[in-house]
Amino acid sequence: MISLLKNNKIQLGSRILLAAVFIFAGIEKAANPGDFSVAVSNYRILPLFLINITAIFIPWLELSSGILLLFGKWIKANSLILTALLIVFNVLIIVAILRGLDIECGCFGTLDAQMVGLQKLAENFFLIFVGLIVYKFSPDSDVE
Amino acid sequence: MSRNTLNKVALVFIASFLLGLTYNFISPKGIPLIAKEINLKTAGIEQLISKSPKTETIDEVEFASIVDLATAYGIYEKELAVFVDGRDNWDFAEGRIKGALNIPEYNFDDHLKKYSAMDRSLNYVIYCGGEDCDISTRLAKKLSELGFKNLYIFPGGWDEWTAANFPVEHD
Repeated sequence: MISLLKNNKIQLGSRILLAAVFIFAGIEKAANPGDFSVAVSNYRILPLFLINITAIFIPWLELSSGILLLFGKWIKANSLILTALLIVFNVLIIVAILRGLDIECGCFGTLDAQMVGLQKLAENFFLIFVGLIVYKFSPDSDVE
Repeated sequence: MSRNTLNKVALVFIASFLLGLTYNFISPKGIPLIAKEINLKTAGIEQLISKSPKTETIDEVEFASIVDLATAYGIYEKELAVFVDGRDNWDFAEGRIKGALNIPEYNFDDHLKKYSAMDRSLNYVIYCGGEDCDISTRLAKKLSELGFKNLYIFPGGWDEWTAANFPVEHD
């Protein structure tokens, strides 16, 4: 099983999938920080003064990390960042569901009007799994 | 997790933060670093009855007023405003406040011409699903940017309206 996960094709496929999702998600949100700040504020977790900074920063983190990962640069560091982001997102989604918030996810900016819910949670769990495969079993290119 | 990896994580964080700040600074769509609190005032029905439309420049923070369920129903009964449903056309088709017009917020920018041509002297009561959805606030903001001045947001929206058994229709 582990040798399968270390397989080059599995590694490459997982890396490209994770990177592509975040590049796609990052671009739209980075281009429209105003829309994304609304999505962030909908979760009603961050204080007002942190909302816009978060909306400015997170998309660029997704984008930079996604691009670096796509090109195989700093694979461990970037897969760690993206997996950690996914875990944070899922915590936020679970909190939103528990609080009964009927809000848009904001995950892909305004491109998808997907609501926060179990489907999103499942998608993210799948991506967390993919991220962990990349993080754990990628050849350690970080030691340069 | 090696120290080396953590250093790289920190570098990517810092670079992304700086990129975000720079882009936000040069982009026309940039936002202030600290958000302003939106504090819309609540309007009574008399505000809509006064015939003269608002002409003063719209404060960036006060682009619309809020109406509660009772006021919204009063407006509906006296036909003082056009009701605007900001949800997507599927939700709209499934059920809406009777006589409401659909302006889906998510693709607003694709139909700017159509929306610009609407009568600016009319009052518009904008709503969406209910308290949790912010579509109506976003839509009001967009309409105010097109120069509409008589905008009212009904935050209770579809949820409150249907809970009160007020008139609805569907396709």
